[in-house]
Amino acid sequence: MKYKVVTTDILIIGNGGAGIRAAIEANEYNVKILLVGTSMPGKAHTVMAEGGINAALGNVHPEDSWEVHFEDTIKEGVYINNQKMVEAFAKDMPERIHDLEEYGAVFDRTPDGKIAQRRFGAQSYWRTCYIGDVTGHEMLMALTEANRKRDIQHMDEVMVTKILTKGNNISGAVGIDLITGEFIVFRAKSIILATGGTGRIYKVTTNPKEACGCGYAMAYEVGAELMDMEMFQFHPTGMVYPESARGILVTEAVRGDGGILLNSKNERFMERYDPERMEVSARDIVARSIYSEIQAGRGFEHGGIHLDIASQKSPEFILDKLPRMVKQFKDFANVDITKEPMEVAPTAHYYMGGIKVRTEDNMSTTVNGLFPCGEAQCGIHGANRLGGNSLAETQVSGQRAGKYAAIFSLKKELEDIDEEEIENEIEKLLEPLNRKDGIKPQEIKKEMQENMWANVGIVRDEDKLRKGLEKIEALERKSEEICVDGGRTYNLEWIDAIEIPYMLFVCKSLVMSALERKESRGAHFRSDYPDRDDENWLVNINVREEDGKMKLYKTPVSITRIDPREAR
Amino acid sequence: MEYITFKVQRFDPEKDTAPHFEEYKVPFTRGMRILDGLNYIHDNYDGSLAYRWVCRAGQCGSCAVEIDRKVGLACKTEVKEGTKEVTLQPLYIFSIIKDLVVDIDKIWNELSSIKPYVERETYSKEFEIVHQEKIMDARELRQCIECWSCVASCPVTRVAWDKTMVPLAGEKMAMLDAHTGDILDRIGMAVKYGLYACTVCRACTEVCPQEIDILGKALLKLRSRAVERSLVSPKTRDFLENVNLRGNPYGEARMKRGKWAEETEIRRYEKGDELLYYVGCVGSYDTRAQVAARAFGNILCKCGANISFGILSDEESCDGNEVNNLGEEGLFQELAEENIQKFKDLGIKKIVTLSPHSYNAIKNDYPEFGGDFEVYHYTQLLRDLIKDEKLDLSKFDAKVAYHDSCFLGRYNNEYDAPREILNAIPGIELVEMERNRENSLCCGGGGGNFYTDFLGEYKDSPARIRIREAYDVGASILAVACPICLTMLEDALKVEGLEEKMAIKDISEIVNEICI
Repeated sequence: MKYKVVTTDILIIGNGGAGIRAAIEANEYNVKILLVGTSMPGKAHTVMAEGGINAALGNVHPEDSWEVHFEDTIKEGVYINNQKMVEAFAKDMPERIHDLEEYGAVFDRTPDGKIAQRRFGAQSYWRTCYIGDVTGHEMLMALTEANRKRDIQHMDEVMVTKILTKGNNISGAVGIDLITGEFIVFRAKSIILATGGTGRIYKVTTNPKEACGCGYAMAYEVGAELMDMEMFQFHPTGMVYPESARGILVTEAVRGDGGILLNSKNERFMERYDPERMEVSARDIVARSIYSEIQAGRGFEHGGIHLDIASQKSPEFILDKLPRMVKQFKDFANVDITKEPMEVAPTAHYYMGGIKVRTEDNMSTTVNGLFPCGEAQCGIHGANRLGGNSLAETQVSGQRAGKYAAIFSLKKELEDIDEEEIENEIEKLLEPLNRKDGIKPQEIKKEMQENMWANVGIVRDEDKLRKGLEKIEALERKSEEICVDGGRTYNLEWIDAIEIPYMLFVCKSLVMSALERKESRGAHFRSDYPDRDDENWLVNINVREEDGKMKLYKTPVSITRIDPREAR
Repeated sequence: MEYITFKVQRFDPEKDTAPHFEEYKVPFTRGMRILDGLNYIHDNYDGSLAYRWVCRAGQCGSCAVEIDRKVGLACKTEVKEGTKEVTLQPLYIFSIIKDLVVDIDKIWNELSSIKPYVERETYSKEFEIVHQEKIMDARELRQCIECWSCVASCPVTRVAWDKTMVPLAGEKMAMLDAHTGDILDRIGMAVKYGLYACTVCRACTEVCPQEIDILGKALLKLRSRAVERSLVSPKTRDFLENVNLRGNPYGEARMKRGKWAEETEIRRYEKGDELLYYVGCVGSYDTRAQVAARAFGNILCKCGANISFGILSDEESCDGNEVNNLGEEGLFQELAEENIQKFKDLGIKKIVTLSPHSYNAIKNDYPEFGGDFEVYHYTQLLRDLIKDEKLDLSKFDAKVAYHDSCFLGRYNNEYDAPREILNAIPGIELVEMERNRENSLCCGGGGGNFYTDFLGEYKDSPARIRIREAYDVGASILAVACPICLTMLEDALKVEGLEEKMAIKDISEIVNEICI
């Protein structure tokens, strides 16, 4: 089968906030860069991040510092974060905000003209820099502009399906040009994986169509390790109505700016779950609280509870601080949030787990030349993520991945690519097209999503997890029979088929890790082990391939500054 | 269970020779969007249907398509209850890759030529100090999600991409012009790339899913800044100078302005008259448009309402609407204030205009300068006269298509009065062109283009396309309610060689012919 060969030094897979930031950084060095994404420039899911980006600038609370940002992040992550990574993260952030401003992002201001910062969940000080409630859009726009200014080479609507290695070194990757269906083989000295999250394994999610976790699976396949795969964050507030809007993000900023949560009895129920912090408690606590209220029958007609800011703030305030929310509810649900409450419920949102960084000093993994960044990476958030820390992560990890990938590539030669490996991959990719009869990928996807939502959701237990795992394994067998219609030109069904094995892999590692962790911590809550157990479980659960099988093993948490056992 | 028929344009380059339509039955659910329908088709009928979508929340701008010929985001456009059929097509302005997926390389090329990023003078290690008010000025423009809807609905871009600044590029230029750090000459760039080819039809503002007033806040803003720096094209300069010196863009003598009314019963306005008939420059000086001017005047004379009315004749001066949207705000203010004073001196309270352009200026823009009058477009008055049975109408047999003028329709939301008139005339069968109402295709004459004629050379100019659209629905008459549309479409009819098959008529002409 014919394929095109494209050669570069650094292949960046993923054109969101992290990928573009990595490209801009790598561009500072004398290396060739190719930025590749499944969607077009400016359309990656960073665009939908809304509330803000955290940095210890101290513009509203001068007492804030990187140390407090560090502490808040560790506490929210319930102590299984990689402390070295978090330290670097908190220290770097103020400069990364400055970078964004230089690229052209226009942040909202305090009365004295400095970058404004708003209150956000579970943070000691107001450190979330923002632009209305469209922070992600503004950031991605600035990053895309900076990219255009530097004329960085990019290929859009290209899906990478396999990373190629020679020995333990990156040699390149195989991908498909979605428009023509043509196969492309990339030769590269290093790969930056900025492939984002995997929300589409769940039935109700904030994530876009392309969030299928391919990065995790591809990295695992070539020997990288994954970590904290049981830690999946459910954002407490997603839309529930109409059906087509179910899952769409309703930013935490609504609560940060004063919105309250009410059940059908008109109670501010957070009083019962976290009386101190109420609605701006940690995300996992709020999500579980809302879930409990709905399970107990105190929800509303569409299965959610009420998020009310109309009764708390003036219409002018709401229009100024939350213009996108006003528009979103008006356009989709015909609700005026300056007058009425919003109906919301938890939605699958962000993956704290991901590709493990082996050496924090240069952000590399067990595979030489593979640099993960953004949501695909793991280590900064531990068991649960602070709002505003994800946009921040894209910038810090993107900058570091770009820098270290460039330094690495400067001293490296291209490795040879293996013809046979490529031919095998192409054959595998063509299978669903060549099969005459079989199962449609849409069917498998739906079953997968229902299964994960029902059995591996906010509240877990041994039975449900086992059931979930069984179903995943059944779907793995079913997916060997996938067949699709049509040719190779822009064939969405074919792309569905290709994504399924990756999604099932992520599901499996998620469930296996969840079964393994017999305690509750952060976003991972087990009704059969509801307490936190630092004595046995102050560990990270790692996943790697051994003899063709998925192997889980525990490693103690890397503690450098805060030890929870001392605090207690 | 209710079903909706989704008519989707399909084209597979691997097997088809030409695009064709396929129909699918999609179940209706309350609150559903077009994207839900497409996903249903993908899941249940044909997984190879090609369409772009990413976020499904109206924030990434990937899914723009033509829905019943109107550009919109598939994920945001609701399929309303009671809909029986909906037609989906790819954005016409781009070439098709497959089904609803189009090739947007042209956009990337356009963008790369306008330097769409902040070009700073120096790099500072310190954070900037900027005030929130300054930021809020440009906030609206910074919401652009590059969905290409504005480009796809622009009548000028459709025809003359090389000559015009596509709305998206204009939006970015204005956005960067407003950025405190950018040092490039965005105004100069915008003018060079064709800022003045825009016909101010407002289709871009109409379709923008982020509700950015692209025309008002970007394109017109750039124009007023261009005028400040005298960067207008020679033809535009002529237009403005003529208005300044002679009160009309043609440069014709003021004393000839009332000649069109000679040998009619239409007289000069006298103090105490109930109604001022404001004709405007095109109706006063253009020979074809003068026919419409006389027609409406005659109707007022003949009608049984005994309205006392008059014209300003050679005392009438340009209303300034085009001057305003060419960016010459200073001259517009002068014209407005002069006119307002003139009207007030004569005790004028009620005004009816021939042109929707005059209607727009006097109704919407004059109040800022103290002009507080009751303003009507002539179709509104005519509609009322007919309703009140003040006009006897004999039969008029024809199949008539009505072309919505931008300044009556999109600018002032008046889509019904002209149609009510046509429907009230015995013998007329009113048919609708594919693009009508808020989706109407501009005749290409706005923004002074009826004079400067930037689009005249193109075989697919908006006016010529409109003629073909009217012909396609079998109309024997294409009716208009604007003297500019009248002259533009009349010229286009001749160039298309369809004078034998179809006629262009102003509504005033039709009614004048049949009212006794």
